[in-house]
Amino acid sequence: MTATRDPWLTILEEGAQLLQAGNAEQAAQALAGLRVLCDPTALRPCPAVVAQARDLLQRCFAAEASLRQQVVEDLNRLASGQRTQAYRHPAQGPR
Amino acid sequence: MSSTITTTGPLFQAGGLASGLDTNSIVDKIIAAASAPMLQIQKQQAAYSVQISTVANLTSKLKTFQEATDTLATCGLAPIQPDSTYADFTVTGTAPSEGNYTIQVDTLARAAKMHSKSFTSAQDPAAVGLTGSLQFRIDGVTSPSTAINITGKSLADIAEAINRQVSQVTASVVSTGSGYRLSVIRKDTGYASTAPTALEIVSDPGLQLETIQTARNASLTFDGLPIERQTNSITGLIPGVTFALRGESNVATEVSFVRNTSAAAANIQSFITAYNDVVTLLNTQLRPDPSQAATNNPLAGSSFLSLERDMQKLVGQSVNNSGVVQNLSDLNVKMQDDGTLVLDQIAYQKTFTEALDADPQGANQIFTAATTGLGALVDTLVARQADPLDGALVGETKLLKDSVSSLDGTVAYWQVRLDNERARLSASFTAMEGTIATLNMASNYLNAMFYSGTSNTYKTTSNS
Repeated sequence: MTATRDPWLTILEEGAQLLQAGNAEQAAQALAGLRVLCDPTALRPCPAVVAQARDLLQRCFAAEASLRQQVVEDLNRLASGQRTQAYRHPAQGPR
Repeated sequence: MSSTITTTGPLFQAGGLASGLDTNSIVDKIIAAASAPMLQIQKQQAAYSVQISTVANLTSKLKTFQEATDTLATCGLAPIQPDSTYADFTVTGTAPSEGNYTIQVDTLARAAKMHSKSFTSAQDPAAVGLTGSLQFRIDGVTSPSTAINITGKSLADIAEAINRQVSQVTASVVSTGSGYRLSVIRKDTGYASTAPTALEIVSDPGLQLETIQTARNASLTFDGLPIERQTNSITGLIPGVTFALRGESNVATEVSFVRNTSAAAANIQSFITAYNDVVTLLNTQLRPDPSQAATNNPLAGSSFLSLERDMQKLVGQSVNNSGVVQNLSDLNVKMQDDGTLVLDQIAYQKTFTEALDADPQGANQIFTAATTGLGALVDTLVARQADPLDGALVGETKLLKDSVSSLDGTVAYWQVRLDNERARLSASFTAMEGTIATLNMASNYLNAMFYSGTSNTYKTTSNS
């Protein structure tokens, strides 16, 4: 029997990678899969998965905060005069 | 984790994207701030529009100045005109010298007229029912191109064809109450050789056009001399004077031409006012008020400087080489520090009147002299500035309009850019709001699992 990776871990890892790469919209799309897993009728993860998922979740939070800070800085640069080249879409990747 | 990002003085501070922030409002504010360059361009366009309006205003004032000068150039500063008005004629223009004349209007000039016989309808061709060509001879000349084919035409059609083909007459259909008649009237009064030749019929297929009024020339007696003209507008009796006849009389009227000095001060003042209007506008552009800097959009180009110099030259222009009055200064017109003119009020009663009385011809010449008078000089100046093809102000307006048009493209570019940025910003905010909401929900779920330890479903997993 081939061991399959838990969907919690798969989704969170993909989401963390996308957020770290600055792909906010793709990350939102990927992480939306968690909503199904949080449904009360869904199967609950085992403690080991919960522990790993919590670690990945912290990575996601940290990556999202970093990305958000970058977007905010871009916006403020845009607003403060360095407008023409200041804004970079997250999908364009980090500077 | 911290969800607050704080920097020193930025416009946008995020306290947490999933905490109820109005991201649309934030994006709007960011876009408004980012619109500053575009707004600057639009402000520049508005400034150009003000300048275009200023040039139009200046052009209008120049033309008013030209009209004021032309009036003086036509009649002079103190024109010699009739001292009264008359029942049988009006007099326009200015005479070369004072004097008395007698005029008696014996007959007024009138045009030849014809009417056709009566028809039952103006619009129905059957009511006319004629075939063939109608042709007129005018002043003894028959032009083949004026032959009018009336076959199958109504009375109204025939009138329309006459008006189209015979430029010397006016045709119409007259309703008499009991029928309709074609009316044909010579546009010009009088005749060249004999009265009947003014308007004759060469061929008439049956309209039965008959002369109801023969042409007549105007005749008058001028200082005992019999005078005849084809029109009621009589020239050539006194140089520069036109008599417009309007009534007949059997008694002579005496006309006295006298120099009209009473209007001279008002005439020259109208010239000064129009001149000052131009100079004052130039001053606002070339020497703008520093306290109004925020709202000033002055035009200080070389064309304005050149116009100012040309205006100043007019005042110093010596038109006459001899006599008491050689230029405006001799009429006590003085230039003030700001370049505007004033008729010296202190010495006015003495100097202006005395100068005018001493040299009325010279005073007139200042405005009327053919090429060196102010009338001719102002015409040249205004043409140089306002000529529709190559006038300096016309060129200035074109440049300004071109600038506005070119900025239109820049504004459009900025608008597209801002619209795109707005879309990108909105998408990013929406995505991050969704992300953090999802992460919060997952965090709550996993924490509940972790702390309760009540996970009752074992799932297959692989370690990463």
